[in-house]
Amino acid sequence: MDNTTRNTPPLLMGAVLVFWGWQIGYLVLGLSAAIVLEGGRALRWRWELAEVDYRRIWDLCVIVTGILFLFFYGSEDWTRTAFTFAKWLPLVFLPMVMAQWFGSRERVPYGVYSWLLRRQQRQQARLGYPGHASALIRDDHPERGLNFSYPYFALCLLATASINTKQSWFYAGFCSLCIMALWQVRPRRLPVLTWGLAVSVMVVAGYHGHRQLTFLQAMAERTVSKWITNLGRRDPDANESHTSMGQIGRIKLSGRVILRLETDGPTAAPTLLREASYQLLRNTTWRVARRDYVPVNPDSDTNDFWTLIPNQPTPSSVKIARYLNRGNNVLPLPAGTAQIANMASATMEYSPLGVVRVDQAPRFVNYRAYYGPGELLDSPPKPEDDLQIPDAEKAALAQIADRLQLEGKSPKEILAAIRGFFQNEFQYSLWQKPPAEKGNDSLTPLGRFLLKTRSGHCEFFASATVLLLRQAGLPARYATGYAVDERGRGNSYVVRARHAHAWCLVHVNGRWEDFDTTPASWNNLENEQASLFESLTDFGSWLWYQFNRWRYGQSNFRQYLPWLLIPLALLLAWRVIRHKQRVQPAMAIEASADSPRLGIDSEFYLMERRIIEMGFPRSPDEALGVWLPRVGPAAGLGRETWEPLLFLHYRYRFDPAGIAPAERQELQQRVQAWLERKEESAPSRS
Amino acid sequence: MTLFQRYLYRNYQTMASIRQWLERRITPVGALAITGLVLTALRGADTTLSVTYQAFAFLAILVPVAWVSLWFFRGRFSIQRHLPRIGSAGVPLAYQISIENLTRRNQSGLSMFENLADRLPTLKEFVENPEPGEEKRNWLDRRYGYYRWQWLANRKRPARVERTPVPPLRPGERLQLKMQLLPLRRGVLRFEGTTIVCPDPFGLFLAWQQAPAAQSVLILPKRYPLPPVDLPGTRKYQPRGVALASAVGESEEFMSLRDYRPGDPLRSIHWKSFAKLGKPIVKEFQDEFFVRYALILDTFSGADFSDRFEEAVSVAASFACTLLTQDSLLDLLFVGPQAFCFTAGRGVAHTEQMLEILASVRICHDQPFQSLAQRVLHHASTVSGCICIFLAWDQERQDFIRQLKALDVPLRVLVITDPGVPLDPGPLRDHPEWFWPLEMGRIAEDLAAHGQ
Repeated sequence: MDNTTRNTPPLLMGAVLVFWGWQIGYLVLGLSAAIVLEGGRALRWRWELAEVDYRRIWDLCVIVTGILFLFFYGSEDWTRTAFTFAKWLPLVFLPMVMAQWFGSRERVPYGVYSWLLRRQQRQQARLGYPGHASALIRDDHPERGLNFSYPYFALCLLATASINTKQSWFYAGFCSLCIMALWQVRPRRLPVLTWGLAVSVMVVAGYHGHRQLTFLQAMAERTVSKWITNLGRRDPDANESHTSMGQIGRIKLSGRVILRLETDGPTAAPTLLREASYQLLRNTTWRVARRDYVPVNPDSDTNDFWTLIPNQPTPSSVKIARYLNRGNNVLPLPAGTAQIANMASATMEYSPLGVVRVDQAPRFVNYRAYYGPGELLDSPPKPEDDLQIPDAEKAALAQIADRLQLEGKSPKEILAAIRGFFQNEFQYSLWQKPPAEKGNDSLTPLGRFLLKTRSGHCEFFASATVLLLRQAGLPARYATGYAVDERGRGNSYVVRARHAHAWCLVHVNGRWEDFDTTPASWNNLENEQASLFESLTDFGSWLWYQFNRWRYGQSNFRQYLPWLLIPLALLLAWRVIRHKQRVQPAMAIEASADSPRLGIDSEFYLMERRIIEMGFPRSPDEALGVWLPRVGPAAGLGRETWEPLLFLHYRYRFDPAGIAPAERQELQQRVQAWLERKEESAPSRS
Repeated sequence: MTLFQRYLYRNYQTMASIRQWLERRITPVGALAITGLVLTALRGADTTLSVTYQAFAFLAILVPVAWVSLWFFRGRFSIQRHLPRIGSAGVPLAYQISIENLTRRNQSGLSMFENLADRLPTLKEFVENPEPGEEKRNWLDRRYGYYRWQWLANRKRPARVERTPVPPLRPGERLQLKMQLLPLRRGVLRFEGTTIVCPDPFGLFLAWQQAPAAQSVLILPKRYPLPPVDLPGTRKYQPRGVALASAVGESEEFMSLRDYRPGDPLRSIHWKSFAKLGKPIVKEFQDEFFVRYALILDTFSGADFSDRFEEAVSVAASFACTLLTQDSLLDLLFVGPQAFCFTAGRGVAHTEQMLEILASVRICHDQPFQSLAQRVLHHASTVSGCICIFLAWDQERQDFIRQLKALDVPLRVLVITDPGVPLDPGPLRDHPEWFWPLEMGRIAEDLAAHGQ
């Protein structure tokens, strides 16, 4: 095995493997691989591997890479685990480089590395492309292919670069190995000194360059990180909510599944999941008065259990699965949520308006909210915020309040009157007509809803209810979130984008209560908007959900993945080694000498020896079938004698099926008889 | 020709040019370095996660420096190529090239390769020539024609060219270099010039210098070994006679020694000369009987690029070599832009000339098969036997054979067929030994089998 076939200079591959093992903290592993590969240079034999064997080995490497990828991708922070994944790639591809080093081919055909190329070759064969014996000379260069050694060398270097260390050893080692490799391919036209100088300058420049990179990143992070992380944000803003009030036309929301709920046993899921609540209305936007947040500390035992309200009984719980954005995320929760489990976020905080938000959480969560009647996160009402009515809406509200005679009524009566008012005189609609009188219509969208159209979607109802309650002297807030209405299989529920809802929080009897005046028909109307293909998209969404459950460790499948490697490795080893033979000429001859040769004990050889002894030698390259006709007449051996015997002998000697015992016996007897006849006639001749 | 086809063609053409540019500009080590640079740039963006950015920093300096260093390659060269007159498809073409260093500095570490013309299909060829078996491909492949492009590009590729290292050149020095390329197709092989390349100091990229040297060489068709063809033809009276007929009678006379050509029988090899010269030399004999064969080549195929037609030309070339070696007169009849009849043998013309014609023969689009048939029938009275090489075995061709048979002309009918499609001998049922179907991809085997 000469060095040219390796195509890497001596010790380069060994050095990179030792470097890799040392840097990732498995020196023994790297050293062992290095010894195997570099030690192999001394060996004289090679495995006779066919293209199909290389394919199998490559396929195994790719499959193992895939499994490894899924294993690490399934972890919570792919950004970090991607480096751990890359770190192990040299080990995964070690079989391939060993096949290259210990196999008989200097270059492995490109088709081995690409399934697409293989498919193309198969197609060409199917389409009947001309073979080699054709007028069309195919450009099949015998040496076309890839020597995997250098790519593997680069892979080892990149894998080593996946470590995270503050020491400079990596840079020194990386540069040294690159220089070793470049030294081999450098053109000889440049003097060694000049070349060395140029490389040294680059190494120094690279050193300063990477130090500058660290500094640059810190600077860039300071300036644009906020901007980048908020890019593409779609989570509700806990500080303000822009409503669609005043928009003309159809309000359309998709049927995309946003949340999946699962309750314990047959208990019903909460009907409303609140994300945020607001106090102040400006034009068509609800805002909060203050943006204070109270941090929540995770339970000391587990980092994913959070207590929002201590010592509160929580008889009910619901599991909520959803996808999160980068950065801050507001959690939809049932009213009275006191604890949240299985939420692996870095931070959690809540606002006095009952908004719970998390930061640096996985992109998919499946948390459990424990809730019950009792204390709420919401702060007590403040008259300056929770009773405020915009000036533009006062006239319309006063008119309605007068009509309903709300003044002087008890809170219970007020609630009943307002509920009755909206239930009886309003209807739910996703369609907003343009104002009838153009130009001189001074009414706000809400005023028009209350006095003229009497038809609108939930934001109208919730906003109008909040303001009417405030008009009647009851503190109220505008709440947004989701209505839970669609039941799935078993104890599960599905919440879609079109189930987004707005309602009102009213402070009665010393606590905040949900008060929803939107006509009950709203959900039916919304569901009528469902797409024809919703069941299809639901299935896709379910598959994605199941995948994410697995990926983010919410299922048990991931832990079984590594076990898949064992049967795969065994299968490959069996398929490659099954009918392989090592090319080892000296040993092969010895082995063949030991193995039994069929028919070597044929009696015909006795006959041959006798004829030779009679003075009719047989030249080494002369077949029996040529020799016997030549010498037979002189030796007194007729064709009728030797021909059947030779035929039996050939069959005994070369026919894989052999001859029957009776035939063998016949061969023995007839040869013996001939020999005896010769023995008898010999003295007389002498 | 739709706009979409034009668009596809431009795309494929651009991609092929970019690919060639990259292949000729970037060494495998350079490709690895660039891949490493891109990967480290992607993975090393966050310097807090790994030390990948350190690898990126080194590569980000190495790669541009290597590229910039190409600008400092100063080389001027003069090239002169000494080509043989002809070559053969599938047989390495060896020739010499002299290179002169026109600069005042030593040049070392150089290598060179030939630039060949007619490498890519034209738009017309792309539109009009579907790949064989294209109808079996899926809708997307048919619509986008990528495989058609690939097939055409392979068909058009004239030769395999390798980079040849150039020894160090002193200022003003002129050197003779042995070059070799493998012609892949018959026809005229056109050289545009030669490119001299020099790697950068780190061996990542290649600097170029083009030296124009337009030349061409004729590449003869590939020939198959043929079994002895024993046409039961009789000597015919040749009205105009044959010049230079050296002898009469039935004796076999040694004529000359010449270079081995594929298709020559092994028994003709002159082993002593082989040992002396290191290349195969064959003995040529002159059989002093006087027969005249007609070699009829069917050129009527639908597409510009027909694999069958190429096979037919190769078979015709094989017959031309063999029959002329047996010293008979051979008339090659085919229809190109017009009907041709070219006679060779017994000093009238040489095998090479016939092969040169076969090297350039093209498919006939504008005339019917009848034009060839009429020409042959007119000629039939003077020939001892006919060898017909057909691209199909349809009624028209069968009728033509019937007519030839009626004139009592001994025949060999070779039909190039698709693999696994049995053919009925039709009018040759009474002479099955005259009918030689040859399967695509198994031509050599079938020829040998029919000779037994």
